[in-house]
Formats: sequence, structure tokens, C-alpha cells
Amino acid sequence: MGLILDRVTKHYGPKIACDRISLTLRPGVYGLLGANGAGKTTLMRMMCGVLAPTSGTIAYEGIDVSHEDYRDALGYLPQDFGYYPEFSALDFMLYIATLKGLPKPRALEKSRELLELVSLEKEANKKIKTFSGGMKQRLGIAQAMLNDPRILILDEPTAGLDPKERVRFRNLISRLGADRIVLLSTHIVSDVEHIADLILVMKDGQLIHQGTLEEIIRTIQGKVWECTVPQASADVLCDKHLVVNLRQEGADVFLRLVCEEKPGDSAVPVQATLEDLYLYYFSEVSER
Amino acid sequence: MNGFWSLVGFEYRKILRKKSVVITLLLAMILSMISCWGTLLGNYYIDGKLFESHYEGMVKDRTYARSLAGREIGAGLILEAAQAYAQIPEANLYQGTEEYQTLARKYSGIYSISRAIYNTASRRFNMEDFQVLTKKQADEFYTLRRDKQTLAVEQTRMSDRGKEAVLALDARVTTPFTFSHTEGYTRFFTLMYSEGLMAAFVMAICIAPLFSSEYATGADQLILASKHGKRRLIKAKLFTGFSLAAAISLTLTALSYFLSMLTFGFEGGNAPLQLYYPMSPYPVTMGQTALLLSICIFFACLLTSAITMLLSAKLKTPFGVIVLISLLLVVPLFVNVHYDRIWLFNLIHLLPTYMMDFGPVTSPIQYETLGWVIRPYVFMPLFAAVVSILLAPLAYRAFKNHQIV
Repeated sequence: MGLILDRVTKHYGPKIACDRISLTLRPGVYGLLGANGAGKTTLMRMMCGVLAPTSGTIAYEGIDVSHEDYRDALGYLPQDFGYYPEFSALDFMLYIATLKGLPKPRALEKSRELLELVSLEKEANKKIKTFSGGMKQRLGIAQAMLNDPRILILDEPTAGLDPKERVRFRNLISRLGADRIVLLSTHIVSDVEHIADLILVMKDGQLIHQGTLEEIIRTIQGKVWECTVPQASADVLCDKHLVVNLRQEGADVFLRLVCEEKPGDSAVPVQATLEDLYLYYFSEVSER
Repeated sequence: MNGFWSLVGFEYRKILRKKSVVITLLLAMILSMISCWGTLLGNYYIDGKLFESHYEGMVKDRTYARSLAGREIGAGLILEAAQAYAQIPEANLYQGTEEYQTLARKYSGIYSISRAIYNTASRRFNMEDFQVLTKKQADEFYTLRRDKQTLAVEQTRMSDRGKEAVLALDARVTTPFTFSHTEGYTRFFTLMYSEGLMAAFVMAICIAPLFSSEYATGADQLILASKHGKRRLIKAKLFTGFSLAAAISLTLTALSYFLSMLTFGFEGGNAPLQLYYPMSPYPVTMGQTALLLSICIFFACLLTSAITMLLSAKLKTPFGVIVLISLLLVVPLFVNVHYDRIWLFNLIHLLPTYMMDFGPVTSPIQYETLGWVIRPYVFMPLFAAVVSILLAPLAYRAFKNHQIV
């Protein structure tokens, strides 16, 4: 059965934030890619029951998203969310554990375990207002896992984490994805590349691609080129094509481009990456 | 239920760990003390010369009142007081004369009660009138009171049934009144208006963030996505709001009561309300009135908390909630409706601000609904309780259905 989204739509007046999205998610890690305003956060909020769809249904194992049992199976890390500055990290974890229905002894045990997992065990009794952005983010990750959720939805989970923490977190997500549904959205393409079993690409409220990394990349295979050209030619190519990478090499310029046709005689086709795909689809959104 | 009480505990921690809340609560307690003792600060001057301090005056009046305690206010005592007042020579300010201080001051309580009865619509009964009070006038004290009451009730726009009910109540007032020192209670009645408003305001500051700060900080996303975030937590929040309002109201009421009694004297609880408000038609004692006023203030605070919680669940920030509640509490202070427009008079008195005021609570104007005639001090708390019960589910639904956009 899994988590089933059936023609889920969300309108904000005339604007369509999510347009008839149908999906079936089973245990595994799903990476949600899209530019700002693509509808990722709206979709995640609807999947967490904090935003009602205009139409369509969301259910897990037949339990509707609005039901308490659905939320019992859910762990959610929102993109930006509030803490209670006067609470200590442990207080906060205990509070969320109570909200999630954990009995007191279990709540304490689980809170300490997770604070250790995100390397906050020494700061457990410190007030959250003294925490850095990265520490708050780790606390957010820990709270999402308190109820050992069957569905874990993480909106920009690695934002604010340093590279070492990011790698640790990616590994943790990979482990968690073995027996539960993990959906994460991020702008950091490499995170998705490394851990997502299935990648979902959203644009203008629609799911334009879904598949494994290889399947997704296949859509731009043969359209990625590299060349080293003089400055004048580089300027022309930059105007005409989407440039994924540009590097000055002496008097010449190294370019990595995405375009349908071979951009020049010196250009050679290269293996496409997820970043190429991301930029290919969302460059105009970013430029806006 | 364990989870429920834990959530209530967390809600209390969220509120009480805010410095602004702790400071507000402390300030409220200090202001209570100041408002009780403030009247005792300073001095009384006659012709630019220090006569006595306010504290000395209070002690003196208390001693005089205690010396008359237990005596019936009948023709004998009224004439005795009038004779004492008759000794006062003509002066610009009779309180400055030695005769007043030595002979008449003791009877100032009797004079004050007499004035309320002998005053007429066309003539104000003053000290000179009291000096020449006749035995016939003294004998007719309670008959005059009764006639005056009947006339006053007849002139209202209440239904015949309402008028009958008020007169029937008045007939149950025990006469003659027995004099007692009641300063502790009368100060309590006066204090409780400002204390009640302060309690409501303090409570609004504490409760305003209950729901709205979750929106403002973004914690609402975590709450509404959690198992108990859409039911148990909201119940816990509502319980916290009501219980905190009750605690603040009871604490400030108790503080005012004990401060008033300790400062001005505990006695007078069994004295009739008419010693303070001679034309009151209610057959209740000062102690019972204090209890009734406290109950009205308690429910007014609960109503204010229910409105605060509804606004908190509807608005995005605590600041907006505090502004609106302040307006709700303060604006009625500037509105005065005459009892000729009885429906508007009664309606406006159902605002929390008026429910805390001794005047509206003990007003002779009755609430008449569905064929029942209900006393204000009964109708007001009932109304507040019913409206609070009706508003709570609206606050519940507003938070439950809140959308994270």
C-alpha cells in the first residue's frame, strides 16, 4: 500500500502551487528537487497534514492524512520552524515526545538517545537560545525521529550543517530509508545524488520527472558538453547556451554547457550529472 | 490523561519562563499593594496646616466606628448623631471645627447613611439639614427609604414583574440596620474594580501568546504534524488558559481581600450591604457581597481569557491580541448608558469591564429573559460561563484548522 497521493492539488487563488500530483511512495529514500516556488514545500506540508489540499487525497496504509493515526506514523522537519528559546534541548525533545504520545520514561530514553545521535548530548540541558543555526537544525532532525516514524518528511534537512555533519546525516538517512519512507527536499544536489533511491523533480507545481538517478539523468544524456575556447567564443556560447560551469584557463575559458546540439567544433559530449539536470530545468527560474 | 497533564505542564512552562510574564505578575502584585495602601499615604490639611495623616485619620475613624458597632440604626441613634452634628458652629469647612472632631466625627457613618435616605430628587440633604433633623424624620427613616425605593423602582423601564421582584427583595432587607465598622469591605469593593481590570489585563498578557506565538515562531508546523497536536494539545492549551486566568483572578482577589482586611479591619462581614449602599434592594451582607463580587470578577476573567484565546487562535501575533483585549477592557470605561435604555444598559453591563464593577454587579436593574427575572450578580457570571463555554470550541477549531501557508 505505502503512502499514496492521488491527484493532489493546491490552489492559492488563481495560482496553482501543486497540480494533480499522483505518487505512490514505499520504503526508501526519495529526493525532491525543484527550484524555489516549484511547490516542494507545499507538497510536503500537505503530506504532513498541516495544509489541506484543494483537491485530491493523501493516505498511508489506507489512513487519511487528516487522521491522528497518520500523524502517529509521521516525522516532520519543516524548513523553518520555531523553538522555545527558554527551553533546553532536552525540554524541547520531551515536549515533542509528549506531543507524539510517547510515555514519559520512553520519551526521556529516546530523547537522550537521539540527542547523542545528533551530537547534542553535552548541550542537552542548555537553552536553545544559545544554540547556533547548525545545532538547531540537528535538534530539528532529532525531534523528527522521536516516534520512530514510518514516514519521515524532511524539508531542507541539511541546511546549516557543516560538511562533516552533512555526511553523517546523509548516512543516517540512508540507514533510515531501509525500512521506512523518507522524503527529503534540498537545494544541495549532491545530497540527493548520494542517498536518494528515487528522485522526484518538480517544476511549476507539477512532477515533471521521477525515477532513479540514472533514469533521471538519461533525459539530458548527450546534451552536456565541455570545451575550452577563446574568451570571445566563450562570450558567444554563454549568451546562446546554458553554462553549467565556467573556468578561466590562461587566455582561454573552460565551459561546461547543456544544449541540444553540439555547441562548437571543440566541444565533446560528457557524462551528465544531476546538477546538470537541475540547472537545465531550473536555470530560468533561478535567473528570474 | 498523563499526556494531557504533561502538556499542561509544558504550556505553563512556556508562559512562566518568559521574563515579561514574571515581571507583569510581580508588577500586578506590587500595584495591588500600592492601590490598597496608597490612600493611607499623605496628609490631611485644613487652612494650609497639617491636621492629621491619612493613616491617623483612618485609625481614628475606625475607632469611632467600632465604638458604635452593634447599635441599631433607628430613630435613637440617628437623633443622637443629629444632636452631635447640631453642635457644629457655622464654618467654611465644618470638618475643621473642634466640635466636629470631638463630638460629631464619631457619627460620620450615620450621617453618611442618613444622607442617602433623606436626599430627594429636588433637594440635596446636607449637614445643615441633618443638624435640624426632627424626631418625626428620624422615626420615618425606614418608611422614607421604602417609599424612595418604590418610587425609584417604578421609574425604571423594567417590566411589572421585574419591579415586583426588586420590591420583594427589598422587603426582605432586615431593618433596622445594625451598625458596624465596614471599611475593610468597602475598600475591598472599591479596590476590586481596578484589581479585576488589572487581573484581566495581566491574564491577557500571559495568555495572548498561547496559540498566536506558535504561529509567530513557526512551532505550529511541528505541533500540527504531531499525533496529539490537533486534539489533546489544544485541550491542554485551553485548560492552561482558563486555569491561569482563574489562578490570577483568585490570587489578586485574595491579595486585595487580605490587604484590605489587614489594613482597615476584618469586621463587618455580617453587616448589611445597606451600610455601604443604603438604597440597595438586596438582602445580603457585606461578606456575601464581597463573595458575589469576587465570583463576578472571577467569571469576567474567565470570559476575558476565552476571548483572548479565541483571538490568539485567530490572529498571527500576540501583540495584536493584547491590543484588542486592551481595547475591550478600556473602551467601556468611557461608555455610559443610562438605565432608561434598559436593554442596552443590561447588554453593555455584560462586558467583562462592567462585571468587575460593584455598581453594575449590585444594580437594582434586573435581567429579564424567558419570563425569568434574574439578579445581575447571578446573570453576569452565568452569562460569562456560557459565553466562555461557547467560545472555547471556536478557539479549538481555529487552531486545529490553521493552515501552514
